[in-house]
Amino acid sequence: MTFANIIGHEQQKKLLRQAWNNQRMAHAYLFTGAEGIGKRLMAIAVVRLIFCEKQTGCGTCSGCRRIDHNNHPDLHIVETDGTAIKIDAIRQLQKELAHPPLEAPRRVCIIDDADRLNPAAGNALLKTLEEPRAEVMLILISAHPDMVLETIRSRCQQLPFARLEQSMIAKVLSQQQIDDTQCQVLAALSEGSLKKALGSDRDFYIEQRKEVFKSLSALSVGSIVPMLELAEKWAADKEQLDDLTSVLLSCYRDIFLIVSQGSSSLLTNIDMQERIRQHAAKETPLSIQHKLEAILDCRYHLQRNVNRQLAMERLLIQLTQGPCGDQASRSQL
Amino acid sequence: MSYLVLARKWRPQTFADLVGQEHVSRTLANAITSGRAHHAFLFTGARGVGKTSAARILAKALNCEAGPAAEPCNSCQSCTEITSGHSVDVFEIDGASNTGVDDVRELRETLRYMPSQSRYKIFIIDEVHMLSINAFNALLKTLEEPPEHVKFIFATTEPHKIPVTILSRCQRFDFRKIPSPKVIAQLRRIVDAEQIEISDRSLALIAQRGGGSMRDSLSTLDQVVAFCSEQVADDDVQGLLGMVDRRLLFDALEGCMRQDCSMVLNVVRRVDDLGHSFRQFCQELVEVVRQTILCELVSDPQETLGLFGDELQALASLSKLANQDDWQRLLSMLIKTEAELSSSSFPRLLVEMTLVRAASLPPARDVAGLIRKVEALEGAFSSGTIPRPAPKSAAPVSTMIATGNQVVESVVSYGQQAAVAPPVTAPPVTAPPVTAPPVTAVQDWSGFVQLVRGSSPPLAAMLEHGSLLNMALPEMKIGFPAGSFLIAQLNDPSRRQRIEEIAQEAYGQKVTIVIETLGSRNEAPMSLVEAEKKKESDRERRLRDDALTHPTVKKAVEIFSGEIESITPIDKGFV
Repeated sequence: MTFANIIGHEQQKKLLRQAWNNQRMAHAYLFTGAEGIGKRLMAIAVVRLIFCEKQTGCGTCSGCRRIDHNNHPDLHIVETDGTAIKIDAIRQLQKELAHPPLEAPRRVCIIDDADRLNPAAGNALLKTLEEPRAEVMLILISAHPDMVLETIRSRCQQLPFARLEQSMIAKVLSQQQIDDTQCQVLAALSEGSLKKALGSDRDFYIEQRKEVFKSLSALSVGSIVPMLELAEKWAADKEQLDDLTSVLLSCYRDIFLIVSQGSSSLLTNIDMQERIRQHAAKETPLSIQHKLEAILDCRYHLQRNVNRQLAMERLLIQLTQGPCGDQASRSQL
Repeated sequence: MSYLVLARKWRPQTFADLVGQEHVSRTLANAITSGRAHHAFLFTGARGVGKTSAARILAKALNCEAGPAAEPCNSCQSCTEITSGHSVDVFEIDGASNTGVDDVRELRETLRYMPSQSRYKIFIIDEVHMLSINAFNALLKTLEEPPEHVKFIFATTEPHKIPVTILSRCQRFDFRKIPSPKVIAQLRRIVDAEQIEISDRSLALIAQRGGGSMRDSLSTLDQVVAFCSEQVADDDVQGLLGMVDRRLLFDALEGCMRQDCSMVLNVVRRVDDLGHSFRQFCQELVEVVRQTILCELVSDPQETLGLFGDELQALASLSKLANQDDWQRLLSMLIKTEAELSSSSFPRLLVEMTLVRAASLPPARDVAGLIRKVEALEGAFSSGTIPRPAPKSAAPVSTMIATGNQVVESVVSYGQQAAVAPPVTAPPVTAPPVTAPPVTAVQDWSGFVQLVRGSSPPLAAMLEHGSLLNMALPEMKIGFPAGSFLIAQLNDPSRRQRIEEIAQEAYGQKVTIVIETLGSRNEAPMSLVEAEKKKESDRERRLRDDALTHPTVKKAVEIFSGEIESITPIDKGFV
């Protein structure tokens, strides 16, 4: 993986390359940005740049090949063990970083998901991170920099990565023989994460999205039984709940945009515009905000392992409420 | 030789270099010169304000061959060794990696040996908050009474995790966050020494990003320099720091205050397209709103808020878009959203929702103004509740007051017409003692009864049933229905005398009371009791009429094709 192979992030590439050329590479970096946008690839590209015999990240020299095969003695990659990175991993790392590099000019350590460092491990890393020996370089990667210890952040050069632009993702997708509208929808739904866009649940996004919205709009306030049945059906598939709620969120966001007179170029579900516009006619700005909050709430609860069936029922009840439900929301405000 | 980041290269080596912690460095320097250095120190404070540096400087100052001096010489063997981290008598221990009780036991083993070269054996334990509770307890005895040649220096960002028993054995120094001007001054010194060209404005931005931490600021500066090398342009700094263009921020706020949802949504899209982090965007919005609020309040905004160029003017025009309450409300909404953004996976949606909500809220009303309005309403309401007669009697008074001048004028002109100008106005002033009271009394039998009630309620109750037949002072004829028990009662001399006394007081002359028996004829005026009864029934009839003709009632009757059975007044106070 070289800089040229990474899509987007031109500024970050330029910065790292400049730092390398000016011999101003810091000893600790923290790459931040959403998941699946190429942070780790960038870290590997940096390592290749440093380790490569030709100083280009050629991909053919032994250094580059061994990085690709993940068996370079001077590259250490620390990953989560279970749900967290534990102190033992850091102690092990410290031991290794105490020695000079074997082949490459530097020893590089990549810590992926640095937000998963547990408190003991994070604190144990501090002294190393502040003043490692001269040939050591650490690259921390995190999608949630706010959850990384403040003391760690202060010791690193932070390099924020933006989400990929929709047009870029659409371009990648179009190389994979997907038709145009689908490309656009997927690109919009993926929220700048290529991992998401190329993920295996693509069919879900394309096909079931319409079905989800259709069955939802078929419900009305009075029809309790169909609503409970739908909730049961949705709650049954644990794996897809996350996708399901994000689909709902994207649909309701479109409604929200229409209700608040946003331009139609902002919409995500361009293939379902007709239906969404119909739905939007029934909503007031306040009721739609209320519903969006309900979906966000539901996601929050699902992440905390609540009873799925209950969560879905509650969500559906809130979603099927007409604008007359405003009274309640207004009193809350 | 690999590159050393600025934060390490420019680590302070003397107390004088330690920026923003003068209170600590002075205390320590004085303690050393006066030979009163404690044996255990605890340095606490936020990240990157100089705790570890201060610990090393203190170690050097204590062990300096030219000292112990207030400032280390940085040239003797001891000082250079400590600086390079090779000193045999200064142990810098990573408290977070050596957390267990065994590590502390090991440390205690080494305590009893004398230092090999220097004056003191110094233990610097960094990140000391990570020691286990057993490790802390194992330290207690040593920490209380260490050998004379041992000094401890602890450094931590989280003093609340340290047991109180440890805290009480240490001299604690709280390091402050470094104020922005000092950070800027230090940055300026460093960039000058490094021969980097950078504007004051960029340095201010970097210092602001550092948030009071020198290391954070230097890390940021490092990044900027790595990108731009020796010539730093303002635009590059803004871009590198992920700062949002001020124009976008202003547009977003303007959209909110002008209630223009589509404008707001457009700004959000532009922010997204430019690849800014929404958290950053929100933080900067908060900052701009804060400045907008403050620029109205402080006397010297340019200085206090650290504004450059024409920013103040832009802020002032922004703040005119809405009143302070609106801005305050927006600020609290943004702050709430900013907190939510840190854990949200849909930052864009959250920002959109918040800004659209802000844009669709009606302008806030001033609470004090509202209260004033409510009070005014209440006043009007309570005066409206007084039965109708009252406003009637009140009305003339108010017009008299309002048109006082005119009244006088009209009197005067009337006097001129009558050609007897002064006397007409004069008599009312001089005459009252004789004529005025009778006039009111004669017309007002109820007034007289009231007067009696004031001194003797039982008498008044009797008189209420009578009616005034004739009033020709000094004689007062009061009539009662034939066969009334009250006639005998009032003819009682003592009672009659009492009434006469009251009447005399009222009319200013002797009054004789004559009690008469009324026939069945109707020529006598109504007694007060009767009048009251009649008034009551009049009122009821009027109420009934009002209710019957009320459109709502009519409609109700029509809709339900019902009948009105009875009408009951709810509250006697209302008419």
